[in-house]
Amino acid sequence: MEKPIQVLIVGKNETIVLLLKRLVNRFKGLHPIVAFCDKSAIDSIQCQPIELVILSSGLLEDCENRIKEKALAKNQGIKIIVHFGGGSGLLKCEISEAFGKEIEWVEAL
Amino acid sequence: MSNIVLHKANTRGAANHGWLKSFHTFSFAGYYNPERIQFGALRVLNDDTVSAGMGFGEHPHDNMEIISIPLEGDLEHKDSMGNTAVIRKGDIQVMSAGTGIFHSEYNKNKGEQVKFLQIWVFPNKRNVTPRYDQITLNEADRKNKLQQILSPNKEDEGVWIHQDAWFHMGSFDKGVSANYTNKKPGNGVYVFVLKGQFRVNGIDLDQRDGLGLSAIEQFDVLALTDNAEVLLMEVPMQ
Repeated sequence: MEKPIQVLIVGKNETIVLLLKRLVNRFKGLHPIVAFCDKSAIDSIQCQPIELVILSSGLLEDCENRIKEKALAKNQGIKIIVHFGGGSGLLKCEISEAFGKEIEWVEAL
Repeated sequence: MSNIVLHKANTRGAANHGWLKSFHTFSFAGYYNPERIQFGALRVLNDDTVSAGMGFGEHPHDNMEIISIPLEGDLEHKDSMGNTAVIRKGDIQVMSAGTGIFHSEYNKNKGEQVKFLQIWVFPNKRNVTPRYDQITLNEADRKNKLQQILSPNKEDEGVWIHQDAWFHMGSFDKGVSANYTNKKPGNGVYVFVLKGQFRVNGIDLDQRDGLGLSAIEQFDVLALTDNAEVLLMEVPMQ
Protein backbone atom coordinates (compact mmCIF):
# COMPACT_ATOMS: atom_id res chain seq x y z
CA MET A 1 0.00 0.00 0.00
CA GLU A 2 1.30 3.44 -0.95
CA LYS A 3 2.22 5.81 1.83
CA PRO A 4 -0.30 8.63 2.20
CA ILE A 5 0.73 12.10 1.06
CA GLN A 6 1.42 14.32 4.07
CA VAL A 7 -0.60 17.53 3.89
CA LEU A 8 0.13 20.45 6.20
CA ILE A 9 -2.76 22.85 6.85
CA VAL A 10 -1.76 26.17 8.41
CA GLY A 11 -4.09 28.89 9.63
CA LYS A 12 -5.04 31.07 12.57
CA ASN A 13 -8.75 30.24 12.57
CA GLU A 14 -8.74 27.00 14.53
CA THR A 15 -12.28 25.98 13.62
CA ILE A 16 -11.63 26.39 9.91
CA VAL A 17 -8.27 24.62 10.09
CA LEU A 18 -9.87 21.66 11.87
CA LEU A 19 -12.67 21.57 9.33
CA LEU A 20 -10.10 21.51 6.53
CA LYS A 21 -8.34 18.68 8.37
CA ARG A 22 -11.55 16.64 8.43
CA LEU A 23 -12.09 17.35 4.75
CA VAL A 24 -8.54 16.44 3.71
CA ASN A 25 -8.94 13.19 5.63
CA ARG A 26 -11.75 12.32 3.27
CA PHE A 27 -9.54 12.41 0.19
CA LYS A 28 -7.99 9.18 -0.97
CA GLY A 29 -4.30 8.96 -0.13
CA LEU A 30 -3.97 12.23 1.82
CA HIS A 31 -3.02 12.56 5.46
CA PRO A 32 -3.54 15.96 7.17
CA ILE A 33 -1.35 17.61 9.80
CA VAL A 34 -2.31 21.00 11.23
CA ALA A 35 -0.47 24.06 12.52
CA PHE A 36 -1.92 27.26 13.91
CA CYS A 37 1.13 29.52 13.50
CA ASP A 38 4.13 29.87 11.23
CA LYS A 39 6.60 28.57 13.83
CA SER A 40 4.71 25.34 14.34
CA ALA A 41 4.23 25.02 10.57
CA ILE A 42 7.96 25.40 9.93
CA ASP A 43 8.72 22.80 12.63
CA SER A 44 6.40 20.36 10.85
CA ILE A 45 8.02 21.11 7.49
CA GLN A 46 11.49 20.45 8.95
CA CYS A 47 10.50 17.19 10.67
CA GLN A 48 7.99 15.56 8.36
CA PRO A 49 7.89 14.64 4.67
CA ILE A 50 5.26 17.23 3.76
CA GLU A 51 4.26 17.21 0.10
CA LEU A 52 1.42 19.72 0.16
CA VAL A 53 0.94 22.88 2.22
CA ILE A 54 -2.48 24.50 2.45
CA LEU A 55 -2.35 28.10 3.65
CA SER A 56 -5.65 28.90 5.32
CA SER A 57 -6.80 32.23 6.73
CA GLY A 58 -5.45 34.70 9.26
CA LEU A 59 -1.74 34.47 8.51
CA LEU A 60 0.19 37.67 7.89
CA GLU A 61 1.74 37.91 4.45
CA ASP A 62 5.22 37.74 6.03
CA CYS A 63 4.28 34.49 7.78
CA GLU A 64 2.90 33.01 4.57
CA ASN A 65 6.08 33.97 2.74
CA ARG A 66 8.28 32.49 5.48
CA ILE A 67 6.37 29.21 5.35
CA LYS A 68 6.59 29.09 1.55
CA GLU A 69 10.32 29.82 1.66
CA LYS A 70 11.06 27.11 4.25
CA ALA A 71 8.83 24.60 2.47
CA LEU A 72 10.54 25.13 -0.88
CA ALA A 73 13.98 25.07 0.74
CA LYS A 74 13.17 21.66 2.22
CA ASN A 75 11.48 20.25 -0.86
CA GLN A 76 11.55 22.04 -4.21
CA GLY A 77 8.71 19.88 -5.46
CA ILE A 78 6.37 20.73 -2.60
CA LYS A 79 2.93 21.97 -3.62
CA ILE A 80 1.61 25.10 -1.92
CA ILE A 81 -2.03 26.11 -2.04
CA VAL A 82 -3.27 29.50 -0.92
CA HIS A 83 -6.72 28.37 0.10
CA PHE A 84 -9.87 30.43 -0.45
CA GLY A 85 -13.36 29.82 0.82
CA GLY A 86 -12.78 28.05 4.12
CA GLY A 87 -14.49 24.76 3.41
CA SER A 88 -15.36 22.10 0.89
CA GLY A 89 -16.40 24.46 -1.92
CA LEU A 90 -13.02 24.93 -3.56
CA LEU A 91 -10.82 22.44 -1.72
CA LYS A 92 -11.14 19.49 -4.09
CA CYS A 93 -10.44 21.73 -7.07
CA GLU A 94 -7.47 23.40 -5.38
CA ILE A 95 -5.89 20.06 -4.45
CA SER A 96 -6.62 18.53 -7.86
CA GLU A 97 -5.08 21.55 -9.58
CA ALA A 98 -1.98 21.30 -7.38
CA PHE A 99 -1.43 17.64 -8.29
CA GLY A 100 -2.52 18.03 -11.92
CA LYS A 101 -5.14 15.30 -11.63
CA GLU A 102 -8.50 14.81 -10.01
CA ILE A 103 -8.19 13.75 -6.37
CA GLU A 104 -11.19 11.70 -5.34
CA TRP A 105 -13.10 11.78 -2.09
CA VAL A 106 -13.09 8.52 -0.12
CA GLU A 107 -16.84 9.03 0.03
CA ALA A 108 -18.94 11.71 -1.60
CA LEU A 109 -19.73 14.69 0.59
CA MET B 1 -8.34 40.43 -29.58
CA SER B 2 -11.59 39.46 -27.87
CA ASN B 3 -11.98 36.26 -25.93
CA ILE B 4 -15.33 34.61 -25.60
CA VAL B 5 -16.38 31.59 -23.55
CA LEU B 6 -19.85 30.14 -23.87
CA HIS B 7 -21.23 27.91 -21.13
CA LYS B 8 -24.56 26.45 -22.15
CA ALA B 9 -26.87 25.79 -19.21
CA ASN B 10 -26.96 22.04 -19.79
CA THR B 11 -23.17 21.74 -19.63
CA ARG B 12 -22.96 22.93 -16.03
CA GLY B 13 -22.05 20.58 -13.21
CA ALA B 14 -25.11 19.22 -11.41
CA ALA B 15 -25.45 18.11 -7.81
CA ASN B 16 -28.54 16.62 -6.23
CA HIS B 17 -28.41 16.28 -2.45
CA GLY B 18 -32.15 15.74 -2.12
CA TRP B 19 -32.86 18.91 -0.16
CA LEU B 20 -30.48 20.88 -2.40
CA LYS B 21 -30.27 20.84 -6.15
CA SER B 22 -27.45 22.88 -7.55
CA PHE B 23 -25.98 23.68 -10.94
CA HIS B 24 -22.37 24.76 -10.91
CA THR B 25 -21.04 26.92 -13.74
CA PHE B 26 -17.52 26.45 -12.36
CA SER B 27 -15.84 23.59 -10.48
CA PHE B 28 -17.28 23.40 -6.99
CA ALA B 29 -17.40 20.81 -4.20
CA GLY B 30 -17.54 17.40 -5.91
CA TYR B 31 -17.78 18.83 -9.43
CA TYR B 32 -14.32 19.17 -10.94
CA ASN B 33 -13.74 20.23 -14.50
CA PRO B 34 -10.28 21.61 -15.27
CA GLU B 35 -11.79 23.54 -18.18
CA ARG B 36 -14.25 25.26 -15.86
CA ILE B 37 -12.37 26.72 -12.94
CA GLN B 38 -13.19 30.42 -13.01
CA PHE B 39 -13.76 33.48 -15.14
CA GLY B 40 -11.15 35.92 -13.87
CA ALA B 41 -11.99 36.76 -10.27
CA LEU B 42 -15.43 35.14 -10.63
CA ARG B 43 -14.88 31.74 -9.03
CA VAL B 44 -18.31 30.35 -8.14
CA LEU B 45 -21.67 30.68 -9.81
CA ASN B 46 -24.08 28.24 -8.24
CA ASP B 47 -27.72 28.08 -9.20
CA ASP B 48 -29.31 26.61 -6.07
CA THR B 49 -32.77 25.30 -5.28
CA VAL B 50 -33.46 24.46 -1.62
CA SER B 51 -36.46 22.39 -0.57
CA ALA B 52 -39.11 23.79 1.77
CA GLY B 53 -37.85 24.24 5.33
CA MET B 54 -34.39 22.94 4.50
CA GLY B 55 -31.06 24.71 4.21
CA PHE B 56 -27.36 25.02 4.85
CA GLY B 57 -26.53 24.51 8.52
CA GLU B 58 -23.90 26.63 10.21
CA HIS B 59 -20.62 26.42 8.31
CA PRO B 60 -17.54 28.62 7.89
CA HIS B 61 -16.05 30.61 5.08
CA ASP B 62 -12.90 32.64 4.74
CA ASN B 63 -11.23 34.87 2.18
CA MET B 64 -14.03 35.14 -0.32
CA GLU B 65 -16.57 37.75 -1.33
CA ILE B 66 -19.89 35.89 -1.29
CA ILE B 67 -22.93 37.33 -2.96
CA SER B 68 -26.40 35.79 -2.80
CA ILE B 69 -29.21 36.82 -5.10
CA PRO B 70 -32.62 35.27 -4.32
CA LEU B 71 -34.71 34.48 -7.37
CA GLU B 72 -37.73 32.92 -5.69
CA GLY B 73 -38.84 32.35 -2.08
CA ASP B 74 -37.38 33.52 1.24
CA LEU B 75 -33.94 32.69 2.59
CA GLU B 76 -33.21 33.10 6.30
CA HIS B 77 -29.66 34.12 7.17
CA LYS B 78 -27.87 33.87 10.53
CA ASP B 79 -24.19 34.48 11.14
CA SER B 80 -21.46 34.63 13.75
CA MET B 81 -21.55 38.44 13.76
CA GLY B 82 -25.07 38.35 15.19
CA ASN B 83 -26.94 39.10 11.99
CA THR B 84 -30.33 37.48 11.49
CA ALA B 85 -32.20 38.44 8.36
CA VAL B 86 -34.46 37.21 5.61
CA ILE B 87 -33.64 37.91 1.99
CA ARG B 88 -36.09 37.53 -0.86
CA LYS B 89 -36.38 38.34 -4.57
CA GLY B 90 -35.30 41.93 -5.09
CA ASP B 91 -32.71 41.76 -2.31
CA ILE B 92 -28.99 41.16 -2.57
CA GLN B 93 -26.80 39.85 0.23
CA VAL B 94 -23.04 40.17 0.53
CA MET B 95 -20.48 38.69 2.91
CA SER B 96 -16.79 39.44 3.00
CA ALA B 97 -15.59 36.25 4.65
CA GLY B 98 -12.07 37.55 5.31
CA THR B 99 -10.47 35.96 8.39
CA GLY B 100 -13.53 33.77 8.94
CA ILE B 101 -17.28 33.90 9.24
CA PHE B 102 -19.87 31.28 10.22
CA HIS B 103 -23.34 31.35 8.81
CA SER B 104 -26.45 29.37 8.02
CA GLU B 105 -28.94 29.87 5.21
CA TYR B 106 -32.35 28.23 5.46
CA ASN B 107 -35.46 28.23 3.36
CA LYS B 108 -37.80 30.11 5.68
CA ASN B 109 -40.94 28.71 4.09
CA LYS B 110 -42.24 25.27 4.97
CA GLY B 111 -44.37 25.02 1.85
CA GLU B 112 -42.28 26.24 -1.06
CA GLN B 113 -38.77 25.96 -2.42
CA VAL B 114 -36.29 28.80 -2.54
CA LYS B 115 -34.09 29.52 -5.54
CA PHE B 116 -31.04 31.70 -5.37
CA LEU B 117 -27.69 32.37 -6.97
CA GLN B 118 -24.61 31.90 -4.86
CA ILE B 119 -21.70 33.82 -6.33
CA TRP B 120 -18.12 33.87 -5.05
CA VAL B 121 -15.60 36.46 -6.15
CA PHE B 122 -11.94 36.32 -5.13
CA PRO B 123 -11.13 39.26 -2.85
CA ASN B 124 -8.40 41.73 -3.82
CA LYS B 125 -7.01 41.44 -0.29
CA ARG B 126 -6.74 38.42 2.01
CA ASN B 127 -7.78 38.37 5.66
CA VAL B 128 -10.02 41.41 5.74
CA THR B 129 -12.37 41.92 8.69
CA PRO B 130 -15.54 39.90 8.04
CA ARG B 131 -18.63 41.86 7.19
CA TYR B 132 -22.26 41.29 6.19
CA ASP B 133 -24.70 43.48 4.33
CA GLN B 134 -27.95 43.19 2.47
CA ILE B 135 -30.08 45.70 0.64
CA THR B 136 -33.42 45.78 -1.10
CA LEU B 137 -33.21 46.96 -4.67
CA ASN B 138 -35.94 48.79 -6.51
CA GLU B 139 -36.73 46.31 -9.28
CA ALA B 140 -38.48 49.03 -11.28
CA ASP B 141 -35.07 50.62 -11.79
CA ARG B 142 -33.99 47.74 -14.01
CA LYS B 143 -36.95 47.77 -16.40
CA ASN B 144 -35.51 47.97 -19.90
CA LYS B 145 -32.16 49.11 -18.53
CA LEU B 146 -29.25 47.86 -16.53
CA GLN B 147 -29.30 48.52 -12.78
CA GLN B 148 -26.05 48.46 -10.84
CA ILE B 149 -26.36 46.12 -7.87
CA LEU B 150 -22.72 45.80 -6.76
CA SER B 151 -19.50 47.77 -6.99
CA PRO B 152 -16.18 48.20 -5.16
CA ASN B 153 -17.34 51.52 -3.68
CA LYS B 154 -19.26 51.95 -0.43
CA GLU B 155 -20.89 55.15 -1.68
CA ASP B 156 -21.96 53.72 -5.02
CA GLU B 157 -25.26 52.02 -5.93
CA GLY B 158 -25.86 48.50 -4.65
CA VAL B 159 -23.72 46.53 -2.22
CA TRP B 160 -19.92 46.72 -2.25
CA ILE B 161 -17.15 44.13 -2.12
CA HIS B 162 -13.37 43.97 -1.80
CA GLN B 163 -12.76 43.65 -5.52
CA ASP B 164 -12.87 45.83 -8.63
CA ALA B 165 -16.12 44.21 -9.69
CA TRP B 166 -19.43 45.63 -10.84
CA PHE B 167 -22.68 43.67 -11.18
CA HIS B 168 -25.77 44.80 -13.06
CA MET B 169 -29.21 43.30 -13.53
CA GLY B 170 -31.77 44.12 -16.18
CA SER B 171 -35.32 43.10 -17.04
CA PHE B 172 -36.20 43.69 -20.67
CA ASP B 173 -39.11 43.59 -23.06
CA LYS B 174 -38.61 41.73 -26.32
CA GLY B 175 -36.56 43.73 -28.82
CA VAL B 176 -35.13 46.16 -26.26
CA SER B 177 -31.37 46.38 -25.92
CA ALA B 178 -28.88 48.05 -23.61
CA ASN B 179 -25.25 48.88 -24.03
CA TYR B 180 -22.70 47.96 -21.39
CA THR B 181 -19.29 49.60 -21.16
CA ASN B 182 -16.70 48.18 -18.81
CA LYS B 183 -16.17 50.23 -15.66
CA LYS B 184 -12.51 49.35 -15.61
CA PRO B 185 -10.33 48.71 -18.68
CA GLY B 186 -9.06 45.17 -18.85
CA ASN B 187 -11.93 43.67 -16.89
CA GLY B 188 -14.09 40.93 -18.35
CA VAL B 189 -17.85 40.51 -18.11
CA TYR B 190 -19.70 37.28 -17.46
CA VAL B 191 -23.26 37.43 -18.78
CA PHE B 192 -25.75 35.06 -17.13
CA VAL B 193 -29.30 34.77 -18.42
CA LEU B 194 -31.78 34.50 -15.57
CA LYS B 195 -34.91 34.29 -17.65
CA GLY B 196 -35.83 34.26 -21.34
CA GLN B 197 -33.41 34.69 -24.19
CA PHE B 198 -30.84 37.30 -25.15
CA ARG B 199 -28.45 38.02 -27.99
CA VAL B 200 -25.06 39.22 -26.79
CA ASN B 201 -22.17 39.95 -29.11
CA GLY B 202 -23.98 38.06 -31.86
CA ILE B 203 -24.50 34.95 -29.73
CA ASP B 204 -27.98 33.76 -28.77
CA LEU B 205 -28.33 32.77 -25.15
CA ASP B 206 -31.05 30.76 -23.47
CA GLN B 207 -32.11 30.71 -19.84
CA ARG B 208 -29.15 30.01 -17.49
CA ASP B 209 -26.60 30.12 -20.30
CA GLY B 210 -23.41 31.98 -19.45
CA LEU B 211 -21.14 33.98 -21.73
CA GLY B 212 -17.77 35.32 -20.69
CA LEU B 213 -16.43 38.28 -22.62
CA SER B 214 -12.90 39.50 -22.10
CA ALA B 215 -10.84 42.06 -24.02
CA ILE B 216 -14.15 43.62 -25.08
CA GLU B 217 -14.74 47.04 -23.60
CA GLN B 218 -18.40 47.37 -24.58
CA PHE B 219 -21.23 45.32 -26.00
CA ASP B 220 -25.02 45.24 -26.34
CA VAL B 221 -27.49 42.89 -24.70
CA LEU B 222 -30.66 42.42 -26.75
CA ALA B 223 -33.73 40.72 -25.32
CA LEU B 224 -35.21 38.14 -27.67
CA THR B 225 -38.21 37.41 -25.44
CA ASP B 226 -40.51 39.38 -23.16
CA ASN B 227 -39.69 39.71 -19.45
CA ALA B 228 -36.16 38.56 -20.13
CA GLU B 229 -33.78 38.98 -17.17
CA VAL B 230 -30.02 39.11 -17.22
CA LEU B 231 -27.16 39.45 -14.74
CA LEU B 232 -23.84 40.98 -15.83
CA MET B 233 -20.77 40.39 -13.66
CA GLU B 234 -17.74 42.53 -14.48
CA VAL B 235 -14.60 41.23 -12.80
CA PRO B 236 -10.82 41.58 -13.10
CA MET B 237 -9.31 38.94 -15.37
CA GLN B 238 -5.89 38.84 -13.66
